[in-house]
Amino acid sequence: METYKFDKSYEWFERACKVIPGGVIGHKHPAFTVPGSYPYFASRGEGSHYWDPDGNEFIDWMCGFGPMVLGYNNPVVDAAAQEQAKLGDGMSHPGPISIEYAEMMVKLTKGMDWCVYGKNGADITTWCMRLAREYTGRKKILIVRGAYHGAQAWSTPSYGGIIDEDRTHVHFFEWNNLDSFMELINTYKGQVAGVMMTPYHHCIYADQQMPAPGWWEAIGKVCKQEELILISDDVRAGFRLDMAGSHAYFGYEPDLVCYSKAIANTYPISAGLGTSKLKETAEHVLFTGTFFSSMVPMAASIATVKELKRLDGVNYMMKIGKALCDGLVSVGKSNGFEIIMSGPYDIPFMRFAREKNFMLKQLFSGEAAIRGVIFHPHHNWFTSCAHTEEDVKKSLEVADIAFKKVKDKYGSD
Amino acid sequence: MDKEKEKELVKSYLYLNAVLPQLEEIIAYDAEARELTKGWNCTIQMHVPGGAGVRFVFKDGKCEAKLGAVSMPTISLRIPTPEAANKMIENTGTVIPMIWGFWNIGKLGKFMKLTKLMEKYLRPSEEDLKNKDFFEFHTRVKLMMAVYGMKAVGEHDTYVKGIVSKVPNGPMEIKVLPDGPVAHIVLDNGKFAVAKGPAANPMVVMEIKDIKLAYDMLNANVEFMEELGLCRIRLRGHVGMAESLAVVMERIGLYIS
Repeated sequence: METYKFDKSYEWFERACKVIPGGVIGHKHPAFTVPGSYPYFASRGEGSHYWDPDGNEFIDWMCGFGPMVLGYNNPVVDAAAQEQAKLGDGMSHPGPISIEYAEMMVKLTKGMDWCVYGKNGADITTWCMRLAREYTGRKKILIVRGAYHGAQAWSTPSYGGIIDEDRTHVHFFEWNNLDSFMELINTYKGQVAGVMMTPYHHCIYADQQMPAPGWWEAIGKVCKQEELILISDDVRAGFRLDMAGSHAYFGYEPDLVCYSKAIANTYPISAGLGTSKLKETAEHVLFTGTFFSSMVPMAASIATVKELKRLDGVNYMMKIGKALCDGLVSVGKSNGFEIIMSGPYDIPFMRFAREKNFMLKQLFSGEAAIRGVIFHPHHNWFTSCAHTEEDVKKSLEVADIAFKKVKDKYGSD
Repeated sequence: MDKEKEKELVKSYLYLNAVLPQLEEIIAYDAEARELTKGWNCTIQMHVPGGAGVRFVFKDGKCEAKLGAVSMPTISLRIPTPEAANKMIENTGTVIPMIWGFWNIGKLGKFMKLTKLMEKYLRPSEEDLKNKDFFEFHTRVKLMMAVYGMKAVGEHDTYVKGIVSKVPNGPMEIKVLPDGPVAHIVLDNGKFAVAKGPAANPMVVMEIKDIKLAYDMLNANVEFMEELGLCRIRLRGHVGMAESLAVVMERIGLYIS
C-alpha cells in the first residue's frame, strides 16, 4: 500500500506560521498528533472522508473532534442551512427559527424546560457556572480532575495567561470516588453552588471511565440534599448516547445541560438547557454574543436532529463503533498486542495495554494516517452515521499494517 | 513565603544547582581550567544553610559536580541567605561568606578564578560562537543548564509546583541529533532527578534536529510550536507531559537570563 506525502500541508504550514501563532491554533495543532505523519490542513470533506491540500483522502474517525455526526457536506443539513441563509442571517433581531429551535431542544431533552443558544461548548459551561452561582448565592464549583469543560480561564488544562484567582473557587474531585467528592462537600459546606460533570469521564492521555454502579445516583442524592445545581456537560457525548441527553442514558437528573459539537453536524452552535426553577435566574445572568443568534446553524441543528432521529443515528453510530472497536482488538491480538478500548463504542479511546507513554500508539496512528485512516494518538475518537462497513473494513486493513509496523519497531506483547 | 523571597530562593537554586554545576563540563573542556585544578584532590562546596548547595569533587584531574552540601568538605563557602548567594554570583553587592578550610586559601583563589572563567562559556562573544567546537560546547552547557534549571524551578517555584503536581511521573529525555548532547530529567511526585545521557524507558523524548536548532531553541530564537510542526523538533511519548515540562523550562527565563 502506497503511503501519503504531505508536501503541500507543510508548505501551507510554513506560510501559516508567518501570520498565525504556531501555524495552527489550539487542539488541532500538528504537535498533538504525530507531525510528519498527518496532514495539517483539510481542503474538503464528504461523508466520512476528507481530503488534504495534497489530495490525499482520509477516513476520518475524529469527525472534526465530534461535530460531524451525519457526514461532511450532508445534503439534508446543508440544504436546510442554505434555505435559512437565503432568508438572511445575523440580522438585528433573532429569527423566528430561534423559537422553533428552543422548542425542539426542550422537547427533545429529558427533564428540561427552557433553552439558550451560543457558539461553543465553553460559552455554555461558563454561563451555567455563573447561573448556578447566581441561583444559589454561593461561589464554589466542583469539577472532576482531568475533565475538560472548555478553554476558558477557569477550566483550561493549559497554563498560559492563567492567574490563581481564576480558579480560586473551582475545586477538583476524582471520578467515581464518592469520598473525594464528599470531602469537598464537607470542607465547603454551604459554599458550593454547583457540580459540573461530564456523563462519563473522557479525559485525554488515559482510558475513559464509565460511571461506576450507583455513582450518578449518589451524586444526584448529594446535590439534592445540599441544594447544589447539577450541571451536565454533554458537549462531547451529546447526541451520541441518547437523543434525550446522556443523562437520560445514564439515568441522572441534572438542573442544567450543556450541548455543542454534534448538535448541528459541524455548524457552529451550542445550547444550554435548564429546569424551570432556574428560568427566572437565567433571565438576569447575561448571556450574549454577537453571533449567538445566528440562524443558519439553528436551521442546520434542526435538520440534524431530524436526520439523526430518522436514521436512528445513535444506534447506528454505536453499531459501527462496535465493529471498529471489536475489529481493532481482534487485529491487535492477531499481531500479538492486547488492545484496550474504553468509553462508548461511538466515542472510543484506544490504548496498547502495555504502555503508558503512547509511543506505540503514536507509531500506530501515524502509520494509519499515512495510509489514509485518521485515528488520534491521544484523544478519543468519534463515529458518525456517514461511516460505513466499508470504512471499517478498510480501517482494519490499514490497522493491521500499522500494528505490524509497531511490532517491527517495539516487538509484540 | 512572599513573592520576592521566593524569587530569591528559586534564583539561588538556579545559580547553585543549574549554573555552577556546569563547571564540571568546563573543566573537562577548557585547558586553562584544567591547568588551574591540576593535581587537586579535594571537595569545594558553596551552600546556603537549609537551601541550595553544590559541591565540586576534584580527583585524578577530573571534577564532578554534585548537588547539595556535605558536612566536611575541604573548603566550604557558607552563604547566609539566598539573596546573598545571588548577589555574590551576580557580583552586585559585597558578600562575605563564612569560609571553612581557610588553610586551603590558595585553592580557593584559583576556584574563584574558575568561576570567572565560566563567564566565557555562559555569555560567549560572537567571535567565540563562530568557532564550531566552541559553539557546540556552549550549546551543550546551556542545554544542561536548562535541564538542571528545570529541577530548580520545578521544586521551588510555587506556580510551577502546581503544574508539576499534575504531571505523570517518569523520565523525559532531551537529545540533540545526530550525535549531540543527551540529558534526562526524572519526575517523581514533584521531585526531579537530573542526569546526563539517555533515560531508560522514557515517558517522553524530545529530539532536536541539530545543535544549531538546539542553540536557537535555548536562546528563544525560534518558535517551539512551529518547530514541532515542521518536524525539526520531535516529541515522542507523553506529549502532555512534555507540554507541562516545557512550561517549567520556560519559567527559568523569569529568574535568570
